[in-house]
Amino acid sequence: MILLWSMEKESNIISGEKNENSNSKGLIFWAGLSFVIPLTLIYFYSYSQHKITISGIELKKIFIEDKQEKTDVLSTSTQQSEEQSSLLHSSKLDTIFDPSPEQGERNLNDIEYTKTWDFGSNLDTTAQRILLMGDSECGGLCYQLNDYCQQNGHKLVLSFVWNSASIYNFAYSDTVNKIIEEFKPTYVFLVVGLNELYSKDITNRTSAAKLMAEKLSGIPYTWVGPANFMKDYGINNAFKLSAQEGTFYPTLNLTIPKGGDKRHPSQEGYKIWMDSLAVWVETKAKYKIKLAPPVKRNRHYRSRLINLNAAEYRGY
Amino acid sequence: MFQDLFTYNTKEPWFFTEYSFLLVFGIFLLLYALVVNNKKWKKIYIILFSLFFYYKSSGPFIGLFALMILSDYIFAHFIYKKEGRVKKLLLFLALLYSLSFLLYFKYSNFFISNFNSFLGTDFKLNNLFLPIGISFYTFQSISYLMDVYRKEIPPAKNFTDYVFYMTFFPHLVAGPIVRAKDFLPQIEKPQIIRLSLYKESLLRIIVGLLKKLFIADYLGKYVEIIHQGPDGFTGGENLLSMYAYSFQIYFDFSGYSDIAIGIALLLGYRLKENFDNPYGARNITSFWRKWHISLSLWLRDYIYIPLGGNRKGVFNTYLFLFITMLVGGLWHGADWRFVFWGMAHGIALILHKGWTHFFPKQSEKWYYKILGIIITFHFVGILWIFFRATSFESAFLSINQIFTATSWVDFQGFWMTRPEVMYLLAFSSIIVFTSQKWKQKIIDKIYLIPTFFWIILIAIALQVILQFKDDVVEPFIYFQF
Repeated sequence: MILLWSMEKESNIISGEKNENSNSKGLIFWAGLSFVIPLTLIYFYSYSQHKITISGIELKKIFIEDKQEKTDVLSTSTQQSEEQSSLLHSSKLDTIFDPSPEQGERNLNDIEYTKTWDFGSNLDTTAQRILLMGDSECGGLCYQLNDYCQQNGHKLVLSFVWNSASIYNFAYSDTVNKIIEEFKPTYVFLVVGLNELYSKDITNRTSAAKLMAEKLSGIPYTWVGPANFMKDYGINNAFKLSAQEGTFYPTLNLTIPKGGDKRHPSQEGYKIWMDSLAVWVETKAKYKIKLAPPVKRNRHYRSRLINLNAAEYRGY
Repeated sequence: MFQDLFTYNTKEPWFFTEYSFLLVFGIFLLLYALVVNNKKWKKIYIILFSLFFYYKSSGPFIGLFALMILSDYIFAHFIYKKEGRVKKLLLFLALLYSLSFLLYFKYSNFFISNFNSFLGTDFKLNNLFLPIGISFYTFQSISYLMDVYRKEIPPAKNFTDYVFYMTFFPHLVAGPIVRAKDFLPQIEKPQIIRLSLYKESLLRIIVGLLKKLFIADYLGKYVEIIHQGPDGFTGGENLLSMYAYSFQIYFDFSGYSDIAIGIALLLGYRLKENFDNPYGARNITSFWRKWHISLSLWLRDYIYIPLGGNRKGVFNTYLFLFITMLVGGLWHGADWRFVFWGMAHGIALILHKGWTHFFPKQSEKWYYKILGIIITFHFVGILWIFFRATSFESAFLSINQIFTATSWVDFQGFWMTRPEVMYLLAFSSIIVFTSQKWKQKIIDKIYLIPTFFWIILIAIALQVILQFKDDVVEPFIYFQF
């Protein structure tokens, strides 16, 4: 009825039947409906449990749903990771495990998860559930670590690549806590600092780094400093002082070839970096784990990879 | 949800891009249809909604705004009636009162911090929240007082009219800066809302939303990454960030202006255009005639001309131009970066004025036109870096990277890692550098869509925006000014 009424009004105006000095109420009403109807539908859809998909693209929801989705950047992955977790604890996954020649076939379910792991000063040769997390440099390092894990019988449970992230993202969000809780790593590699080498607010970043170190306390970890592609105003030192003694690997001292974007290492650079890191972890780290060089390189990547962008997702 | 709708939330002030605003605006229009032909109730209805809008945007600062409106109204009446020294004194007091809010909220910390750094004192900074739109409505207030003083317009007939002019929500928080002499006459004789006006206004709103949420916000994400540490990125990345920010600020602010103009049109009031293809300008003078037109005209009429304009010799003309742009820079923000930005534009305007003095004939050859556009765009773009950067140091680092660390390899790497930014930059360039004639041809085609289908057009636009937008919408850049 409203529609017909408004259209009738409109046709009246066009035909000149209506007084030219007065506004078309119908048209204004129709303008109002032009906003109310689509937005009401969008709101109803946003509050409903249903999801509409058109040509494989799911229609996004707004507001509260959006906020949920925002948290769900991780939760979505968590959902998927639940599947992943169940896989981790099934024998199905174990069958695809490519054991290192010397270790023979091992069941990953046997890899113990404990937060009170005591390494002492010895090399722990047991299989680990390794979590790699950090900024965009992780995106290249994860493939090298994948080779090492497959060689040494470890399971790379997750590579969490938080592009453009700084220590603030890692320290002041509970994203890391959630990931640790979900993926239950027995060993963590944290690679961070690339996006803050230029920083001069070292005091604030040291506080953040200390908080980060607290988050990791109880889990054996190695904190990997950023590649030395820029002048360092003290961030490496801040990280070193914040991390537990013997847990910070100063990439600063390593010469790494740059990649095409001049900001990240090249493939060869990542290899050099990982090889050096592996030697350090086996021999000098506080938490020493077995990381013998892989016989076979560039293996099929077999872990879960989460890619986030700090500009879109700052962490929760 | 409904409770939230009527309360002010500091973390979620109302913008035109908020879907909750658009829904409430739709409901507002449904009821507006009932009062549109009754002048008195129409005015009251719009004023009430405008005050509600300002409350949702700025909360308790609505009281401050009300005080300014009341004082302007009273002062203007006295200024109009008096003559001589008393008149001047009244104008001075009125301007001082109007400006005092802006000076306190926007500039007091700037003065204190500079005072401290120059004299080594340790005065504490105030913990101030800048009321949204204060720079805009203060300038409107000044234009009204000055116009009344110059007897270019009589004071508003009644208080309701003046409140209507000042609070009219489409231009309230981020312009365009509307002059009383342009707007007050419209209150009595607004435009008749017809089909053409309906389509024009809806298209402006849709285009504005797409400009802001689809283009500006996306480019803004990339710009933010670069400005976190420009020296950590290659020259190419910094150069593309300069382009991205040039487009971002244009689409952000012109998108806002489009929405404001569209909403005002739906109510029957025409606000003046604020942009006219500014990046198509062949020189810096032309750029300032096309960019933020309402501010440029305001600066011309209330600073440059009162100072003396071009009536007091060549040197003074240049000096007044420089001072005007300096004020323009400071208007944008209480920071030396904005002062520098304004000064640089001032110098460029002086140089161009000097150039045209010696070479008054402008070549119409197409390659000179293109060269002029390229030079002007890049000059403006480089100065935008100071606008966007977090500090002088960061701005110079970015410029240094552009000039010393740019190579073709960067672009190849960039293309591999951020193709979507490249697509968007290319798309933005096409929009920005296409002449208005061509755009109008496309717009005319869109107007042929039957009225009924416009509702579907809006629905598609809103959902497309949702699909692509970040869940946190960045506030309009010009809200902060």
